[in-house]
Amino acid sequence: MGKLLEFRNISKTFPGVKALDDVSLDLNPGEVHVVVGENGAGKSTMMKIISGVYAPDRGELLLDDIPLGRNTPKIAEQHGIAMIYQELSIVPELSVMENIFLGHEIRRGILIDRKAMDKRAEELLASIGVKVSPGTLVKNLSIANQQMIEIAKALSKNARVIVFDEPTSSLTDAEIKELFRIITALRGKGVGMFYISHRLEEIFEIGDRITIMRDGRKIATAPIAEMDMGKVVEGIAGRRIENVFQRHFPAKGEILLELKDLCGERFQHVNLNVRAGEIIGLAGLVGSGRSEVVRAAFGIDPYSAGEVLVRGKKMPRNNPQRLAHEGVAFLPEDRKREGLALSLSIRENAVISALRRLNPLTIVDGRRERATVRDFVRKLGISSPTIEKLVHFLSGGTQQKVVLAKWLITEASIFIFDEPTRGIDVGSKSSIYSLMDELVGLGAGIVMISSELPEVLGMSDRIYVMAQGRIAGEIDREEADHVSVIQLAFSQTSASQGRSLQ
Amino acid sequence: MTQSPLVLKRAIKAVTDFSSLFILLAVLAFFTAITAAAGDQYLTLSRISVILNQACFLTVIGIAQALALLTGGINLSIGSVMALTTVLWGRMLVGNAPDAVHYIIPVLLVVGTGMLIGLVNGLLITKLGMPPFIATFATMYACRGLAWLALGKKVIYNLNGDFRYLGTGVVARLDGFSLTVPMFVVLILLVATSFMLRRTNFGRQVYFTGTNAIAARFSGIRTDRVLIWVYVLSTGLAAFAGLLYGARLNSFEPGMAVMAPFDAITVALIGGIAMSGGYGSIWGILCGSIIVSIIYNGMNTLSIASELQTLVMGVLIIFAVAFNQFLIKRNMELRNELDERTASR
Repeated sequence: MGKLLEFRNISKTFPGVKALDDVSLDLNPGEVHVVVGENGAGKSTMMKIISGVYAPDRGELLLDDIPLGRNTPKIAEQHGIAMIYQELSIVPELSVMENIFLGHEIRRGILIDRKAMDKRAEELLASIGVKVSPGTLVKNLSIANQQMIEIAKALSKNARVIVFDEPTSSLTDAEIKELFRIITALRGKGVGMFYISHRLEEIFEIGDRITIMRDGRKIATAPIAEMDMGKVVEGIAGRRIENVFQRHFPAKGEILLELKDLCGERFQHVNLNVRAGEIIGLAGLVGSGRSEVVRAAFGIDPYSAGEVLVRGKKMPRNNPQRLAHEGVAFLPEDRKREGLALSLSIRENAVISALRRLNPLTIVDGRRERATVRDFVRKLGISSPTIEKLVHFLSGGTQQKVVLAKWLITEASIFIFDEPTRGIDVGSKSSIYSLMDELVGLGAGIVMISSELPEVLGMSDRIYVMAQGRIAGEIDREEADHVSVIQLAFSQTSASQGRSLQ
Repeated sequence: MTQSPLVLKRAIKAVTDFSSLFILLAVLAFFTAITAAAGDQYLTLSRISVILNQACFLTVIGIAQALALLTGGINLSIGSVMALTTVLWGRMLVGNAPDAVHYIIPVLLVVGTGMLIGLVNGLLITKLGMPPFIATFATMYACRGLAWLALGKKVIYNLNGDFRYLGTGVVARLDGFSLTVPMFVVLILLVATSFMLRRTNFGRQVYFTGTNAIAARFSGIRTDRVLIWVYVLSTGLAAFAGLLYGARLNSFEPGMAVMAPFDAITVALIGGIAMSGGYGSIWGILCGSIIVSIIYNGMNTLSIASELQTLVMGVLIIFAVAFNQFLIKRNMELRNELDERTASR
């Protein structure tokens, strides 16, 4: 049996960066080929060459052992190459069926044949075992189901090669299981898949072969059975990483932040507190109300009842600036949309929350500002040649550090991290963990929302688990393990039985 | 990496940094060439002075518009506010009224009223959540209507001489070149706004809010307050522009400056302010207004019909915006590249 797709000695250079350096690899039919590497290792460039977005400088791309020659997104699509991106490319206001056939509708004469499309959509969804009606509006679906729609869309175009780019980054464990089931089904149909992920646990579960990339070069390709976690991490980082979750446990201090009986549209009667010197994990399924609670507490969204106390002081509603003034920092999940002004520089982003502290007389002191920013850039290990670099051009991990710098400059002492390491490479991850540990050592309190169980278990002093808008339970570090957290996350609370997902 | 492309890159970046300046030179060269072909000299001292003087008013409304554009908004009420505020208080500026007060009082009243209307704009946008386009569109009509109600079909004319000095005064003459009071006023205004935007906490918040209003809120910026102040300043400046305008024409009337908000957009766009907010420099406005002023002046010199002039403006806006959008993107990329290279050496 021939190869489905082959990269032969491909190089690609961008101004100043060698994105790919003589990379060769291949994909067999019915294979899941995992590609791992830090951000900037060349994975995305590789996938963009496959999908025809970029043309290689040297080397060639072969499909069914035949050189492809010119490749464009259109040509790639005609050859049955489909991409499932991290950011989904579906239209929320359209129905499932309309999304699946968007751009390649089934026609009868000049008219669109809705009936035929409904039927075909149902077949496609059934073939991957997704129980969603073709008429449902996509905006009413969970992220996981939206992803399934993307897969169905790829299949509707007779995809033979599917590239998954971080498909699980916003899925819960149960949804990941569902995705893996579908991937297994696709494997049975002879579809070849590239699978890019930062979550190393899952690649051992789903992968057949693995390729490790670093700095635009291929470090290794091997059957997954011959690899272990240590080898993979070492290959990615180019060094051996012992334990990423380094924690020291300082003495606990006063209660810094407390939510009392907080109620809102998506959460009810939430009680939680965090003390100085403590990291609180807030776990639960996506949609369990974790993000909604902290957003309301910080004043971004309204809440209907309850209190938010900072050092015992009651906070007003809908007033993020007051919370920020009281030393609360918020690191949102969606850094690009909620955390940063991408077309401004590191400097302009880093000082934005501390302007009043830095320049009490409102006139900007340029020298002091630059000195402060440089100081924090160095402390946080932000890798950028200058502090004037536009945040847009930084990697995910570095962007997260800029958001962190923004709050450190305000001398905040209470940090709310919403998915602090989502989409961040292994190296930056461990430096963010050690920063969190350092912060609580200095007397800060941290609330960390995370969908990654190892992260929650590894970093938290205490874990609150949310299920369906309520705190389902609180577990101490010593008693917490995968099982206890997952059990609580899936627990049904009687009051929320009436609420169901559409 | 060799040296020469780096130098070249630097040069290209300089062009993209000062794009408006290069458009300005191109436009100047164009009219100079055409006039020269007809055997005339285009750039005479007196013509320069006329162009700059005309550019003064455009600069004021351009700044007013730019403030709104920088936050990602727009201010359509500029012309109507010019009319309403001056019509309301203009009688106090009429020449030889026996009970005349010092002209500074009506001037302050006009600007104050403008700021008050700006407050309304700001509140509509922040507290009622109206898109800036709709909110200022509504106040545009409302203010024009009020202006007609206040004065009917009359005209306030024959204004106080001391006041008119503000719009027509000449400080010094040099051959044909007149250094006028408005030039000084506008220069002060430019320096002040530029300082406010670049060197104060408020200015930083304006740019940040304009670039990403959601992230601004997550960063603890009082975005509502920033927006309200921007519209207060923008609309107050519009009222001030009304005074300059009236002083030059020696009259105030309810129907004045209907096109002002649109001229202001033209000036801001050509001056390199991005409609999407958060990008552009206030000094670009100066270039933008001089460019527009040259084009109008040049077309008049060539006695081109006014209908055709409007058409030319339309085409020019298309080119200027396309050019600027390209340059903004290129500028950011180049800036990034140069950063990388400077570091790697």
